[in-house]
Amino acid sequence: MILRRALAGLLAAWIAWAPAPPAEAYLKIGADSGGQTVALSWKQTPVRYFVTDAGVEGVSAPDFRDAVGRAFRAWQDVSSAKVSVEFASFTEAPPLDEDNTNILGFLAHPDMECTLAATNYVVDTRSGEILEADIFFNSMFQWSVAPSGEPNRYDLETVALHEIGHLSGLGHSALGETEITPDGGRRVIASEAVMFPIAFAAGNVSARSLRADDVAGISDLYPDGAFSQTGSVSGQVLRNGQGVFGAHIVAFDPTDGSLVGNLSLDDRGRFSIAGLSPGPHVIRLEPLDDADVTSFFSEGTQVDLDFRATFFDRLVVVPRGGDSGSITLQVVGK
Amino acid sequence: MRGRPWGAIGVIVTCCLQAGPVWAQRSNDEASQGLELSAGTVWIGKVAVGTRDATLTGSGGNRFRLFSTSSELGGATGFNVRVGRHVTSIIEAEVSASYASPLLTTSLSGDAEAAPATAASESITQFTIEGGALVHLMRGRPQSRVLPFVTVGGGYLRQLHEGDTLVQAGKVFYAGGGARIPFVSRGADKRLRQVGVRIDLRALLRSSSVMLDGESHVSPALAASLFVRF
Repeated sequence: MILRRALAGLLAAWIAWAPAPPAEAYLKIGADSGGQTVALSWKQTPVRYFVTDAGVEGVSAPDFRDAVGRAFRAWQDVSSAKVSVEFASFTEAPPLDEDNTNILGFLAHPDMECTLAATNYVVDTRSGEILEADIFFNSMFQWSVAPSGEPNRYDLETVALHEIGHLSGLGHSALGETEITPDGGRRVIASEAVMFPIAFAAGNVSARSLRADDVAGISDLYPDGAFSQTGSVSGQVLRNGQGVFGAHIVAFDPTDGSLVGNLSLDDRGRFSIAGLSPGPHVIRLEPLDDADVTSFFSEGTQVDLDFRATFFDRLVVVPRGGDSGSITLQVVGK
Repeated sequence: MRGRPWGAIGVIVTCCLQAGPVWAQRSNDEASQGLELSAGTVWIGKVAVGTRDATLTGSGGNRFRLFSTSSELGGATGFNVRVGRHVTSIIEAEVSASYASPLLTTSLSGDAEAAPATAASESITQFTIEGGALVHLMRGRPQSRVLPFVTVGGGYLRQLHEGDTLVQAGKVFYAGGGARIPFVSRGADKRLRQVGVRIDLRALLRSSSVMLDGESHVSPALAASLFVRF
């Protein structure tokens, strides 16, 4: 068994202020296994977790446990997914130690001035099984568990909801819009996925509930119940006959307004978006042209950015319990 | 004496002149009994089936528009068949089926990343099976060559998306009127009693998942059929 400890500082952290793409996708975290990519997921459930018995100003350890419990419950309540977790107890141990226990707690990381929280795994890279996962919340920030939020304090439940998505095996979604700030940073102005890599400003509690993109992602990882009644769209993105890697493809359901996306993930530009409601969908795609690609892919990954956002000129019908059949999306250079 | 032949002729002429209306009354009342079969074409008008923006949650809880959509189920020409039979002297029960293939089109515009506005579409194969009642309006005016009626009914709507990838069922209701114009009308003792053209104009209410806004929508429908009555 090959064990790999990965401090997923970029893939699995929720950053407060950093470059990020205005794009749409849920993404599963993958591990390379002999040239094949396997999705990370828990094979043994329920996942038992511990909470570090230490609070910070404004958030006691029991407050922390309760907020984290609400966030876990949000993922467990997804009817089309089977997510099973169990609070074990408080512990004196801090998160991030490799100790065969899953620990959530505060840690001070002044060196990570843009990182609100991060998730850290121990995985079997051959099977993709997650063996251990810890989440640390950076105590250098001000935190809140107030029901309506507090000014200048980050909402713990919101950030926990995001990190638990990572703990479950989800990567970042790019379903959001950002703008460049005067200091060269990037500020999120809108998003439609808890798994978007940049948090709303301190005090905001509008991301306490999962969106369609999050639900599709977790259901794709741990399918259950109604997931068999959903369908998928698959195909490839081509530019001048060549596959486009890293294009953001989003499926919009005009009956309920839901947005679910994914990325083209190989050199042939192939993609698949699962967990979609049966019926016609609008397909839109755009490049990660103002993104920090490392929020989504490993360092050094070459992503094709040189094409224009476009719509597919056909409505794509998602069948119940099946796939639309491969579609070909053509893009043109900017 | 000299006047009697004229009188006889006058009687004969009178009888002949009266024979027409008497025969017509028999044909339109009696000939229109029995079983009617009709087949023809139907045109269904287009209908808007919903507008919706693709939105993201803004930082202030507002909705940020990514792009806008507006959908329409297009007009289509198809065909229909119908069977009818009198249940009273003026009311006829009918069963009909129709086929049409409208285009479902969604117009896309206002993209936040300046994606060019376009229209995305797919073809829908639509079948209906309906039952209804037809009420004759001019039963007491047998000399008329145009026989108006009103109709009302409802039934089952089945719509298949492009490539038969998904079936969606719904309901259809209609109300309207029309007229039969017989070319041939014969007595009730004849096997083939009546042949003619039938025109129907209806308000068609359809409700199904193809209506992307989940609402029921009314569109006009016009049908022209050739009918035969046995």
